[in-house]
Amino acid sequence: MKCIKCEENAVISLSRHNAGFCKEHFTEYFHRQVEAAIKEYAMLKTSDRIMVCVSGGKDSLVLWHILNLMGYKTAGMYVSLGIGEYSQKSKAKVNAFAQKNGLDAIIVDLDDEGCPIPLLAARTKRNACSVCGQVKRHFFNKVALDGGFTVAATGHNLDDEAARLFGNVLRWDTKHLAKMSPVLPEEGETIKRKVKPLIRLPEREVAAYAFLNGIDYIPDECPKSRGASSLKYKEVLNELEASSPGTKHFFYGEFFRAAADRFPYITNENDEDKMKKCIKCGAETYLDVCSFCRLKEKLNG
Amino acid sequence: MVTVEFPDGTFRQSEKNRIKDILRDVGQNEHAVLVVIDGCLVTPDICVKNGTEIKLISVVSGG
Repeated sequence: MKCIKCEENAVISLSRHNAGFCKEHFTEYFHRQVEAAIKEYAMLKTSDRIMVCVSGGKDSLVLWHILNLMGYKTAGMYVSLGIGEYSQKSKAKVNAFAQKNGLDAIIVDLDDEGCPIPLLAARTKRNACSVCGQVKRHFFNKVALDGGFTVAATGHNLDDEAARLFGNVLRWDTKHLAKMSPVLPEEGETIKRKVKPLIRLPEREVAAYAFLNGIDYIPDECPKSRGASSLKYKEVLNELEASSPGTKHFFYGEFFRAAADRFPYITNENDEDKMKKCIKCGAETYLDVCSFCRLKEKLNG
Repeated sequence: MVTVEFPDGTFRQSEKNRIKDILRDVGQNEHAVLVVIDGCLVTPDICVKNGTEIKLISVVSGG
């Protein structure tokens, strides 16, 4: 297969476009996709201070790399989950990336905070992924507020979001269907805008970009995510994609054209219950104590 | 015979010679992996010689 732009040997094929690209033109295409997503959804302004939520994996490091290339003001924010060797290796990747590119990485270590994910999951008898999401959201909001960031960017790609949409549709989870947009607005006084600039790119293309551009990431999956339903949904969607290229783009993209308005996003301003500050940590919450502090209380008793 | 190295470090062999057919032969979806030969990415349409070693990189992440 030849590159459709220059006739060099292609390094990647994009079956949904019936096209192949050499390294140079794939990189150009990839940047255009990120720029298009940012523009289409008005995700970022040049004046924004962007907190890039990084895990040491390909998606978040690629996102940080590109936003930095585009000239945005960024810092990485990493939560070390306390999951043994996996956390040590992923933290090392984040620090190495930051050092190589002269960027700032803000590290929150859950071992230091006294609440590593395996311990929290065991004490609360909850699924580790669910606890992890709750804890990460707490620290993303806290660090964004404390650090004066205007927006939090995550490396969710097309496969992540198509799989999430698929799961939400299978359960007709209207609450989460209302939060499918790649831009979630800021809420209250402390929760910043959240954006997903890689939304137009399948994870195979994100991995190819990382490989071709020498971005060193942790390829291992989180050991706590084995058996997660989102991985099963991705497998099913990849099967469909193989037989019908473009399925993931169509499924995700058409949701916003055909159905998203049936699931309106409810902001806190519209909510009858007024948010208040957690009496323990100051985070915004509907109750006196926020969900993260209630989770931590369970460790002690 | 082509040798395929999986992301978990295990190996399998295939008698096919086109990447697309090799992936199918070893039960891999081409949308879930990258294929690397001698440190370079290759596309599923190319054919390889007997004795070639190909390495698969998993692209699926998350939970």
